Amino acid sequence: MFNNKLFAIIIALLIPIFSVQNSFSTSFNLKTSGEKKFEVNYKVSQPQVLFLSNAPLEDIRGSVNSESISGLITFDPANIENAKGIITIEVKGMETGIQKRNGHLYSKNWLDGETYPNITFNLIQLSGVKIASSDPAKGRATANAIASGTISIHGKLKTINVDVNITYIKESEETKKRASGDFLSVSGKFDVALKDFDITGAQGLIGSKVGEVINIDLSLFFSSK
Amino acid sequence: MKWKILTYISLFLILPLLFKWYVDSKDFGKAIIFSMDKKPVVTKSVDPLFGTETTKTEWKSGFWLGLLPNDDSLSFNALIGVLPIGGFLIVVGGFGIFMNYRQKKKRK
Repeated sequence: MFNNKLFAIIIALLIPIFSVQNSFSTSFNLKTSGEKKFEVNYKVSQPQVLFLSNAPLEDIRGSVNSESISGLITFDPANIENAKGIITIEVKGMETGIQKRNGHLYSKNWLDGETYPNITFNLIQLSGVKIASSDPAKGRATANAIASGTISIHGKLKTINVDVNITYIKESEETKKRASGDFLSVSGKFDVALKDFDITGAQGLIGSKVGEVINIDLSLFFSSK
Repeated sequence: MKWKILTYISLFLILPLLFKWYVDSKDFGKAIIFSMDKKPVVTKSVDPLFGTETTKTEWKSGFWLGLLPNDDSLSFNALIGVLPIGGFLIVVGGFGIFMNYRQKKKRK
């Protein structure tokens, strides 16, 4: 009798806990679940990180060499919010179209590539997940979400929220032509203010030749391990 | 007479300089402010698997003349731009006009 009562109390306590967790977890409804590790994979598609500086004297458009982009994400298609991971970009993989300017970018006055060779984004969670489409028959789903995490540039950390589009594709004969495992693509845009990361540059250049805020546009493609 | 020739040559050389800048800017898709070593070649395509537009950026090496040099060091490269070269040619042309004027005055 006592055991039954205790069991009922435990169940009564667990139900709201599970409901709370459920209210924060969104699923792609692709009849697949379980956490998987996803790694940036060029065979899935070429990753792209573009940066744009708007300044009165010149607009600088640059990109990061795809070999300098890496990342590992833990992702559960049945619990999208729980995604975690890290994206790393090598500073010396950034290209601006002028050799001398690349050298300036990597130098102590700017990103200091010797002391801080990488720019990293540490994904802590996804929130505000909205399923845009889900096709269990094709094993494909898309969602919009806000990726929250910390970005480290020039040795300084800052918490940021990035609006991202996520596409999940279950492994199929078609995907196997590129790579094995499930595929995940993440794309988004965000801005970085140089002063937030103590990047002062050469005197007088920020605001005239280099924008105070840099626009970042990224598209990353992962495959599960 | 020789100063007149110098003036004509120097002012005439500005034209191919401007033409090269115009052609390079057209090739680049925008007016080039600083001379460039590489040009981004952007290819946009729709990925049939993801159904999204993907952008591929590759860098083509070469030289594209800008209004200003892309090098701020004390070297020859720091002069390669329309404004420094054009400015130099204008100064030479102006010097030729001045010397021609002086020569004419002396003869009189």
